[in-house]
Amino acid sequence: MTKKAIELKQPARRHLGKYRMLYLMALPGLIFFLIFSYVPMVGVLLAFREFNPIKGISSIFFGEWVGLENFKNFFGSAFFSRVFSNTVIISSLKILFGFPAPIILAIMLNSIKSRAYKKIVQTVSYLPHFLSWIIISTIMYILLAPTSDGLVNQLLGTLGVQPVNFLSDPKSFRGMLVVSEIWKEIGWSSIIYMAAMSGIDESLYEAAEIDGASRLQKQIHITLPGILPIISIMLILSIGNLLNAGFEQIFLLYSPLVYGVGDIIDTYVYREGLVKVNYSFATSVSLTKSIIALFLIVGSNKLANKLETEGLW
Amino acid sequence: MKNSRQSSVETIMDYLNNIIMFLFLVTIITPYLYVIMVSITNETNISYMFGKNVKICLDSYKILLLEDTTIIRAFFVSTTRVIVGVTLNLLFTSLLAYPLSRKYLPHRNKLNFYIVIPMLFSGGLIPTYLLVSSLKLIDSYWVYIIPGLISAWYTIILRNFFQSVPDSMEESAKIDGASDLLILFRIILPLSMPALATLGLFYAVDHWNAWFDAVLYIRSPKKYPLQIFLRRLAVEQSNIQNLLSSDIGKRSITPESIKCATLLITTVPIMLVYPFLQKYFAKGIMIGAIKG
Repeated sequence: MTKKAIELKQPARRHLGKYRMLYLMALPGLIFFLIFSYVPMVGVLLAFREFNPIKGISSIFFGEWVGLENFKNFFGSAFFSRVFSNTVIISSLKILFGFPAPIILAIMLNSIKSRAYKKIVQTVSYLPHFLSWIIISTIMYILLAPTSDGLVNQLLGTLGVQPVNFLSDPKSFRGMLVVSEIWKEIGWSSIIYMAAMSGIDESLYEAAEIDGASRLQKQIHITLPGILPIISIMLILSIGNLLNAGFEQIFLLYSPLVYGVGDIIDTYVYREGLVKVNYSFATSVSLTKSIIALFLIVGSNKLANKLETEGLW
Repeated sequence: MKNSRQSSVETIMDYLNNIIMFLFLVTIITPYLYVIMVSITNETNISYMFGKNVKICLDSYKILLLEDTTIIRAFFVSTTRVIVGVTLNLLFTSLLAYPLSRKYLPHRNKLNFYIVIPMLFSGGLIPTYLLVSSLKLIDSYWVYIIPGLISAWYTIILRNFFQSVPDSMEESAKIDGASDLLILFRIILPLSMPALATLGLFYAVDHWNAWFDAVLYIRSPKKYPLQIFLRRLAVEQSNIQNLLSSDIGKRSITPESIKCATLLITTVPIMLVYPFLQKYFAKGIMIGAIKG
């Protein structure tokens, strides 16, 4: 390490001249990240100061110091447990149901004998990934209309079931979030597992064939273990993302009626901060989230990297 | 995995699998199908929609596109955003990714780290909002382009791709006296077309689908992108009475029909681009993937 440092120290000045063009090329990008990524990081100081409308943004540096008061207010409020538990519960539900789904789809897709049919299903399956939540939420509002006009309620009507208010009912709201998330991402997420499956050695299957293994046995004993590394990595990364329960989706689908079950940290920050203009309070909440999320994301990334480079165990 | 001696159990499972996959297909396609049907038949009830007396009626589209043309404005805003945005995105992302891809560049690791950190921690919604506000970007078209100019993730993908270009290309160009800038634009970029096409498409979809920045920063309705137009019309139901009471509308168009027509107009560009997304992203996934 030290030898390298000495080696670098001397020519460094020469290098700046020699590589000047490259540094210049990178400069706009570096400045961009400085302004739009690093400068806002300084803004978290606002959590510790009172925002003064007169001082405006300089409140970040010159506002009255309130220390941890915002944090105390938040942790003491009823919103803290609601918002954190909603976030964790919704994320967990999405992982519980949404994580296995693409894997199962990949296995089923792989089992399709006809190449054309397989291609068609695959292609159609990841179309929703490219649609915005605005489009999908609008489709949901139309399909799930609470009157007997809504498509789903029409279908329920033929079974004799009364119209259900899917999006306004706290009992069904989270279910709608999970189902629509799966609908949107199952195809796209399955790609990575499909790719992993195609990397499994064919001869393993042939050997199993000779030993008389059924298709199901082949899948349990060859396919699943074969993609176990990628499954582990994806699972770890999903958990690392736990505090991001899907702001865009929830923002577009929620309403005051379902705040109790659907209000997550990010939607709370948005309402408190930007709608009620409670800047310093909202900043304290989002800072709390960012710090916890930092540990989760860094920890999970490190773990995932370790699994990747060192193999399983 | 072809096996001519398949057991009957496996054949049944094959059929079952195919049926389930078909049902899955149906689940994905049905919502669009319904929306299309509502927009052209002015009905919401499926038994009437497919019934004998159904009339194909394109009045919703006529009202939106010919009469009240605010949707055209929003479409234009979104399209311009995509074109200008993607051009600048690719330009600046390439400019940043190329130096980072040169393994001999001093401090390269620190610079890479510098790009990665914002992916792990951010200032949050409020500080970002205050920043954009202080940069006087509120209610400006530039707020669509500047704050999202470079994606760290896409930069990494492009950097990795640049790294895979053979060193000999750069070396021979340097011998001929070419500058790094020239090398990037005349040699590396032309060789990177697949990666650029893939990232270009990703940036394009990101721009087309963007809406939250408009919610946060845009105040003038004429600057709304198409996504916001759709949201306001279909969910917040603004302006729908105006549309319904137009001349053509006097032939009783339902609000649902207008909503669905707007939905389809917003989705059409994605559908058109989809075959290209298909073609390029499979490679793109492999280029970037998790290793990035």
